Amino acid sequence: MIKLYDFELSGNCYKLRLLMGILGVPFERIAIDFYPGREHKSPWFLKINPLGQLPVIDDHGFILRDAQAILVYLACAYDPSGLWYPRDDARMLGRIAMWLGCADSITATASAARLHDSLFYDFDIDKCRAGAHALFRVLDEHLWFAEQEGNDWLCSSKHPTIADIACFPYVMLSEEGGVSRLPYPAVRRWTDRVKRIPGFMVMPGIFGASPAASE
Amino acid sequence: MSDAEEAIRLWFPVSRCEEIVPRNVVQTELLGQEAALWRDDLGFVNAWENRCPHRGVRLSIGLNTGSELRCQYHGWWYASITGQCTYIPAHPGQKPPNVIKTKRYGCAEQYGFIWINLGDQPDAAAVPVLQLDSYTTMRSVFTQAPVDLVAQSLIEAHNFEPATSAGNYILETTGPGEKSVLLLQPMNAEQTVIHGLIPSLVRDADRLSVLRQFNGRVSEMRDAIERAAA
Repeated sequence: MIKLYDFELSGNCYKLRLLMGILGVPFERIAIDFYPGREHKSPWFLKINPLGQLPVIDDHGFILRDAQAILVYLACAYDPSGLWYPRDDARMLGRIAMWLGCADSITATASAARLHDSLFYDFDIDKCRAGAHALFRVLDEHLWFAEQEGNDWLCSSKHPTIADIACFPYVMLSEEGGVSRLPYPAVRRWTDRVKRIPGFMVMPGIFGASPAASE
Repeated sequence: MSDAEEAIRLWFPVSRCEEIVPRNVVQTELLGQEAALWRDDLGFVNAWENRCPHRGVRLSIGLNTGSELRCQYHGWWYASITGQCTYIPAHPGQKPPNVIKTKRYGCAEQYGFIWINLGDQPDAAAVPVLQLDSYTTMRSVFTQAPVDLVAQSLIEAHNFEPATSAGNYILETTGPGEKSVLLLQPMNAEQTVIHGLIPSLVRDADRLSVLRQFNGRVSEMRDAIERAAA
């Protein structure tokens, strides 16, 4: 079974739980005391990930770090539909890579603001929040026009991709870092759609949605 | 027009109608008051103070079930239209007292927008009249600047003028050619939403490019206004 080195409150760990849950991939969670124990910086964990970061997976001895990289691996290895990471579609792969990069930027801003506010990290909070708002502004405009074109998802496809899973958690947790999503109504409609993907699961701070209206 | 006592009696657009989608709750703010907007499955749009009467949690994080809004905190149910609390999970056998109700704001649909009014006696006939035979609404643009500065910049630097006697909250382009109308939503002392429409119908084939061009123009103005406000 896949082992996930996990921290309950981490959005980057949660996105892997989310995709594995949606794909029906069984996994075992190995709880790392990220806070306050800083176990991800301990000598034993640095042998698993020298960067001292979560998450990491161990799939029968194949060890991989970096949440976005792991999403790519999981979709390629465990999604027989091929829809979450369409390997033969050059434009889709380009778009997905672009939004995976954006997910890292969201981590560096919205998630950093949350670490500052809730786990007392020493970050420049104004800069983190301003950076998050700049990204959310782009995201909202992108999603608004996607809706106008009849697309529900980040990568202009009829089916969600790992890009949606990658960007969702730290957008949804932004208010824990003092980043209001009130100015981003198209983002709210998209997060509701993500919450209605069959197999969706929650984490602390992220609630479910009401069921969609039956047609 | 910056007189808050005066403004509270006015109607303001707060969202495009079509963005109040089923089973969704929109969080917005008008004159410093947060509102939760949600459409029930029969199409009725509710505009409530964004505050659960029980513990004050934002209703906008709650669940729109199609007939009621359920608070995320203790699960109290509030019925569409009346705002009456209809169910308290901790007291499943008891009918909630009639006095437990959400605070409702005046709400109207006009010109493709949801308008709300925070006053005690909202009169839907007082929604501003725009002389429009037809219209197409554009993307609303959030702006980090107070409404007076936004209006002043649009008038002085971007060729807009007041379109109604309702002050500087509704502006239209000056001069000949097709007009653009901008409708300002004063969120609070620091933020304004610029809603927009053009007074005509757009052919389906042209719709996306018209939306993109309009959004591009308003976003450029927004950027200039924000630089001036910073």
